[in-house]
Amino acid sequence: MKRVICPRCGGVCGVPEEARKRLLCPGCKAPLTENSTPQNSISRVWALLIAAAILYVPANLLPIFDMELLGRPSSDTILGGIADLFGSGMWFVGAIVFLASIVIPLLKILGLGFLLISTSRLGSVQARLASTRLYRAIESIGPWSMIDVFVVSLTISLVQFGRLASFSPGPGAACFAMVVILTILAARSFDPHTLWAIPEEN
Amino acid sequence: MDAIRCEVCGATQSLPSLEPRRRALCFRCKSEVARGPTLSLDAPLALCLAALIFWALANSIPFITLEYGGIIQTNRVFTGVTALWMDHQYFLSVLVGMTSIAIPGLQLSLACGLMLALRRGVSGGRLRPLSRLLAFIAPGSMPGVYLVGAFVAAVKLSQLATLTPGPGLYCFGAFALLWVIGLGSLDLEGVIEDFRPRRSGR
Repeated sequence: MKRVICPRCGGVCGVPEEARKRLLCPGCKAPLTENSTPQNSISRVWALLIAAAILYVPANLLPIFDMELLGRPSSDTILGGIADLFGSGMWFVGAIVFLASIVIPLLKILGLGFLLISTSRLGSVQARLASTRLYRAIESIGPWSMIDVFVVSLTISLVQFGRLASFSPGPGAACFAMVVILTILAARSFDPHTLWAIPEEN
Repeated sequence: MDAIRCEVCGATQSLPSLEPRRRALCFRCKSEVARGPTLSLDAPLALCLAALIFWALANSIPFITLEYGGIIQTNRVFTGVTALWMDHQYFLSVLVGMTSIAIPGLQLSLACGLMLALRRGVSGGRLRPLSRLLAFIAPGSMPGVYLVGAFVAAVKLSQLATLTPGPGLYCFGAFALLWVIGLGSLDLEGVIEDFRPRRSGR
């Protein structure tokens, strides 16, 4: 038996040495996260992250819109839509979409990958503090990449003109939504304990 | 003095008694470990109830009106979800419906119910499953992101047609804003612990 302190109520709980399951505090039933082993968390995050990185490619290459304007069919990818916005002088909106749809997902994938690779090599307290801050930032910007999914849904609901124009979501839209969900799940699966697990160098 | 474990880095530390509205940061990783006791739930309860009223209004009155070549079309928030469903995009439809309408509404109702129960003297321990459910669904709630998405879609479509914001849009804006103020800084899991009578000997 080893003893851990419950993060919620502060009570001391005895847990088996080699606990594989998630254990709950006997007093307040809060999960004692120490027993979700760091190694478990790391491989789960890798799996989600690699799936997100793979889907990032079709999400950007395939059209998110299929549209037909006055009988002329055309389609629009994420980057194409941003280029249109910039082309017609709407810099501000273009920048919002560029940040939300291209930069944030990429930053999340690269940032989490960096955290996963660097966890075992962190020595100084400063490096760990910086990594913890990076982790918190990645976790909080997550939902903002959903903007383009909402834009697709609103556009197709607003534009229902029968023969004049029709919009429908392309295959890229579902891929993109999956990228957003997978990166949010990956960020939530990352156990920040791993950043502090190895004793500090002094 | 209580012993508490940082949920981010796992460091165990003693927690001094906190004044209301103060928060304690972990000595090692500088993440928030605890907040001062909440003396009154009046303000967050009022904000959440107001948000809930605007949520109901935003869902029931016209959101955006669009005019194109003599055709006038009025949309509600829910039209985006049904349009995606009609288009056989079930995954996107459910995703948009959940994150923009269903989960924020559920979250606000749960939070209001919880706070009302606490004020009526129900013990925190019995409400813990509810607060855990709230924490579980919280990442799926993104009304603010939806609002930005609506803005981007409106700007994109304004090249094509005349868009008039309906009263529902203003209600949705008020709802998103009140949601952020009311729920954004509310740590219901912590509030529940504060309302529990403290046990001695820990």
